[in-house]
Amino acid sequence: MKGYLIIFNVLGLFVAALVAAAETPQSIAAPKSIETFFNTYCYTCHDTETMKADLSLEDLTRTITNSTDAQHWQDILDQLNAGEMPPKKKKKQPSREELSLAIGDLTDVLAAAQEMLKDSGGEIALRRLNRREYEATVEDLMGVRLDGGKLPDDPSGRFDTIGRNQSLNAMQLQGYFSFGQEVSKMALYWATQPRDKVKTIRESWINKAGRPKEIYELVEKTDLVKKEGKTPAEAGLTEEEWKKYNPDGPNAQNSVWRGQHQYYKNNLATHEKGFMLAHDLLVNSVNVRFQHDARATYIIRAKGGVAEGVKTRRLVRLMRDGSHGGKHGIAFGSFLMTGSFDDLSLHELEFSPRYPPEYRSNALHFVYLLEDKRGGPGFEQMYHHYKSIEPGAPRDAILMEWVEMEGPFYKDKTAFELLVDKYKIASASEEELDDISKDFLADFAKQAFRHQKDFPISFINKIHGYYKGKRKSGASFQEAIVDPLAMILTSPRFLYLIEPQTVKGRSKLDAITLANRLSYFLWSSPPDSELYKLAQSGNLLKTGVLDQQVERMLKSPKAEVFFEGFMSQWMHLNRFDAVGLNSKLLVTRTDAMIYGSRREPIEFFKTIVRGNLSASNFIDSDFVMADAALAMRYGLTQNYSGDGFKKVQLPKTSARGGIITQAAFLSSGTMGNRTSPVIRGAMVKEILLNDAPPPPPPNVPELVHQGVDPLSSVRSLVDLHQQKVQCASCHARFDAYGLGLENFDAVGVWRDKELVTLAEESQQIPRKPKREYPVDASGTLPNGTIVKDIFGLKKALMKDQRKVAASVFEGLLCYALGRDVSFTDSPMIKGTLDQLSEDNYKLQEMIKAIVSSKTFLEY
Amino acid sequence: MSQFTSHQNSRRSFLQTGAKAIALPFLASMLPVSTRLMAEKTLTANAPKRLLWMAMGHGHMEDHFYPKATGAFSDIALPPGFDPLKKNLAHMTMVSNFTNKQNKQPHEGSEAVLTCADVVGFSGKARHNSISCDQVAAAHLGQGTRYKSMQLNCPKSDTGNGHGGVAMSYGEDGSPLTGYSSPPEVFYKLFGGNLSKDELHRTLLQRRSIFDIMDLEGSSAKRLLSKDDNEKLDEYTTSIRELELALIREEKWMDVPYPKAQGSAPKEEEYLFSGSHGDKSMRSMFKMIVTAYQTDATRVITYRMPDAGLLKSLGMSSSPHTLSHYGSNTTLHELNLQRTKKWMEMYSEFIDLLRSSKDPLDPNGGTIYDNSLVYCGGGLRTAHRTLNVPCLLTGGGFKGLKHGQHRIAPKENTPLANLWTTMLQDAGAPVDRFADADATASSILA
Repeated sequence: MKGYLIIFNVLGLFVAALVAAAETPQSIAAPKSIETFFNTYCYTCHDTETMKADLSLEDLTRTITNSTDAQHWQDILDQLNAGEMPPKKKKKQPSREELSLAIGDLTDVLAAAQEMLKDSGGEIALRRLNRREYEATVEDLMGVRLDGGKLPDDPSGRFDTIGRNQSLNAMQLQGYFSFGQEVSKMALYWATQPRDKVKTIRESWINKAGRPKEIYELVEKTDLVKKEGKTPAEAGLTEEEWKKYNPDGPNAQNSVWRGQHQYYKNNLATHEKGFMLAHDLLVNSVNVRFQHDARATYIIRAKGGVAEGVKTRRLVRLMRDGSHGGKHGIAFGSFLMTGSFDDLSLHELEFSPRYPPEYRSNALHFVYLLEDKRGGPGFEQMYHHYKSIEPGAPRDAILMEWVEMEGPFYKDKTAFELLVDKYKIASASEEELDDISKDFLADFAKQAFRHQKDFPISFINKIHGYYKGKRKSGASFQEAIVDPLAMILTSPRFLYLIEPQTVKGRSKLDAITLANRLSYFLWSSPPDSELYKLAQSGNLLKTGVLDQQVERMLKSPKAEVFFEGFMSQWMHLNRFDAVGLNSKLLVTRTDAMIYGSRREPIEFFKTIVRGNLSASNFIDSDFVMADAALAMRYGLTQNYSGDGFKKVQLPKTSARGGIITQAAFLSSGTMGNRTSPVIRGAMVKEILLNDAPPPPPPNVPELVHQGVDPLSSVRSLVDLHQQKVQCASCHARFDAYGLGLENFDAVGVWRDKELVTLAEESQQIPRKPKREYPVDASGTLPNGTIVKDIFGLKKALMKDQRKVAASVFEGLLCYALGRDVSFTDSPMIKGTLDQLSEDNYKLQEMIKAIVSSKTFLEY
Repeated sequence: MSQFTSHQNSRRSFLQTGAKAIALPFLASMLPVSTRLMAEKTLTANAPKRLLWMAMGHGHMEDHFYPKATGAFSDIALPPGFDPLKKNLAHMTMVSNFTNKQNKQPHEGSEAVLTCADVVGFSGKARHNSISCDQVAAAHLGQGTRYKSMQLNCPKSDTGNGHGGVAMSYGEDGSPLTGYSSPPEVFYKLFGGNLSKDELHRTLLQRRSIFDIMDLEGSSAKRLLSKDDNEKLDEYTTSIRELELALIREEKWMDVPYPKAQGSAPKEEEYLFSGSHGDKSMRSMFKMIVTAYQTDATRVITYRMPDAGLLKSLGMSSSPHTLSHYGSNTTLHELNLQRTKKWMEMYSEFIDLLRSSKDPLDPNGGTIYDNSLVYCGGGLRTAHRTLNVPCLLTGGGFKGLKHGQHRIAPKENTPLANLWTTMLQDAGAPVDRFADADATASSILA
């Protein structure tokens, strides 16, 4: 016991020493090159004597130690960047080289200062559940597939797990409580519904063209009257029908009619085989309708084929909900129709939607299947003026015989559902429920509070008191229990990842807290019973156990939230979500393509982690993860089979592989509807080379500024702005990477030619001027390497494996700890990367290294 | 009167309770008791001032929106974007040379426009904002109204709009006040839900006991934590306190009935389809603003207007951000001009509305226009330029300002905070300097 204390003391001293070391003020020197520059161009006005605008550059500190110093220097940089200083009217102007040197060096120094001052000293701030975690936690605890879209927004920052970036105000807290009330009602509703047996509902689409058929028959008859001079009676029309449908009458046949007629007539041979996903119908989809259970997932299957000669128009997308036959719904995948009319193909996809907490009914919902034509959600849809993207293919290309769903498929019951069963919430009398109400709340709270110490009995007493009060005023059990449940879900013990700390300073996490930290790292949800048991028995910290747990957890479906949460943020996919690409102009930017592009990086990351592959795959890989839409757009239909995301081995000739040739990455790097080598280059530098360029200063001139030919190629525009000194100083450091990606258009599809048009709407395409350039993707990288194209670029980047490894590793560390990586972490990062380098930076080893690091195991 | 308020005769007649023999303007007698009780206080003096800040998101092209000369609008050449403003030129002012010097972000025009804070900061701090000028105003002018202030917002789906962040208004701790993004929400705030007084009383009591419990729970959870983490939970308990204060305010106002709504709430369907009916929802919000002032629900409002929604209502499929990178693309220039004209058409309609809406709190029978100070602008001038930002003023509340002119601040990049200071002062808030103001703007305006 005594020995233990001594060790503790020594450790305490050691920690104190560490803290002291970290608190030593760091400083960064102003660049030497600036002195000559100041001497030559600035001191005439801004020396200690003249002090124009109250500014003396002589007095300015040359050692940056705090943010005020740094800000002063930043102001100077801003002036130089904006080209405002030295004033243009001064005769003596710096040369391009001089200015470039001064700006470049100062930018570097300030970036370093920023890094230095960003240090949080390694403190992990208490954080609350972000939206993903809230959803996953509720699903894990209460069994409903919740859509947390109405929860308070997550803060911006590198990752949504960073506690220091979060704040909470009254309005948000009110929001959490109201949301908690709805979640409680939702969970109660579903937990008291019996589970259904798995069944299959098939919707046949054979001879389903009812309305078009009617119209077709009527039009055929009216044509007999109009064109062949028969009487309505001879044509088989009643007096009334003729009055109603006479093409010259008041009910002249409108375009909808003509479309329906056209459709029926064009496809006379196929009506008995199924329904065509046609152009001419207002509703050009097939569907299956079934009750959605918020606890379950489903499988959607469909059978169909394409008309003879159809090559590319084989994509069918799946949409949930949405009006107008699914047009305005949400895409959740695509099928590549490999079958023909005579030999239909069968396809299937998992369907696992989430629901807002108001979803408390067994209402019927649709799943629609449409040909994947261009158009984003809502009003951006564009069907009626659709021009065929495959000349020569028949107008109506895809036939569907049937659609079916199989389900519901449930997971094991959650803690809340088991309690609802145990206490017979669905069937017991109100009096019986009163008797168990307190136990029910307490049992649930234990789970909701993640088994942390000091369970708040008094809180349970109070919320139970509240329950009794409501019951007294006439509310039923189901009504009265909602607010107490919501209070549990709004308690800091649920909302925050509380890590109780008894000892001051750095110390080891207790086992339950460690289990929680680990679980929120890899699952974004609470530990399962196995983890809790390991924590309670103390076995979690035994040699090898953490590693085993990491392996087990990554295999679990619960890790999906981690794959998505980490990769979306590491790759800045919010940029992809916000990108302003106009679907009306870009024929390949379809809903299925948007869905597939957004999902691809996540599937890719999952494959790398689960397969324990090397981080170098982020630069280049011999496979891609593609779904039907991506396989089509990547030219890999020969290599793709099955449905959903599949690992597709790449042929040697393919330019794909790695993240920078993924559609989401390429689309994120666009400006307007054109590619942006500038943004793409900056993203390569940040994501792959772990060296984010400083954000562009405000008030810099536009790339396509007035006076420049708007039909110039992107490449010539980039060259043009590199001639501006203010731009060149930074852009020379990354534009070349982006230029190497010029063979990929704004959607991410391969191109040999760049088409530039002034059209902003699809109708303008034929009228507005346009020009075409052969793509030149060559360039000289900042280190002098000359590359010819994407193949050369990736080969060159492969030499920087360590940088991408560092980028992923630091990202994972930041995500896992919930704090920014600071310069105090550098020794640990370097040491771990050295170790990992021996085995090519394998991803699972990285995760294990983080989990077993001192940083992760301590407060 | 707005279409939403109606004549309401109450047995608690103002004239019976107050012996002061004030000749009530006709309109005031139509007001609900609540407002009339407030009116009792204010009618003795001048009409209260109303403050409104509206932001447009992205800016406008130089040639379309910014007059080259200064002086009376009638004497100078006006850019084509001003065409829709013709009939209201005499009731508005444009001011040049204001800059939010703290804004370092080329995409986030509205995030700091009212706070004049450096949101990005420097020392690697997480984004942080500070209190916005409307909230400073609300602290002084919002004591006697049901709501201290109100925030109207565009829907979340309004993307690429150049506003940045999530709000225009920020609380004392710099946290965003996102407010309401759908007109029906505002409607129910102004006229109450369908709860009876008893029901209301019961809900308030319930909420009070919930807050009490959560307050204790917050403090008890704190005991588990180290000091630093406690600061985070302080946010939690502070939020509870604030909710309690809001509750007390609500209780105080419980006895004061809401004005009676005439007509029904604006139809939600109109705003579906991802906010594609930007103009319709704006018109509806404009009505709500005027109604809020007429019923004295609040005197301080901000409105972060839908830029993407407005484009969609013009049938354009490009995003506002795409339009902002117009460069030398003449097609984009045309679209920009269309948008500028639409903005100004909406603005002109709003001035019409202000001028035609009687102010029930004005003893002299004036209009809402007469008693308001309205700013319309944003933090982006054109493309992604943050200097010399658009600034339109309307309303009769600015001291010494004669509308109908393009004025210019003598100093380039005069802090926008100078204007905020002047607006706060003119509205009666005892504020010396707001944020980075280095003077007031009164000399520029007068």
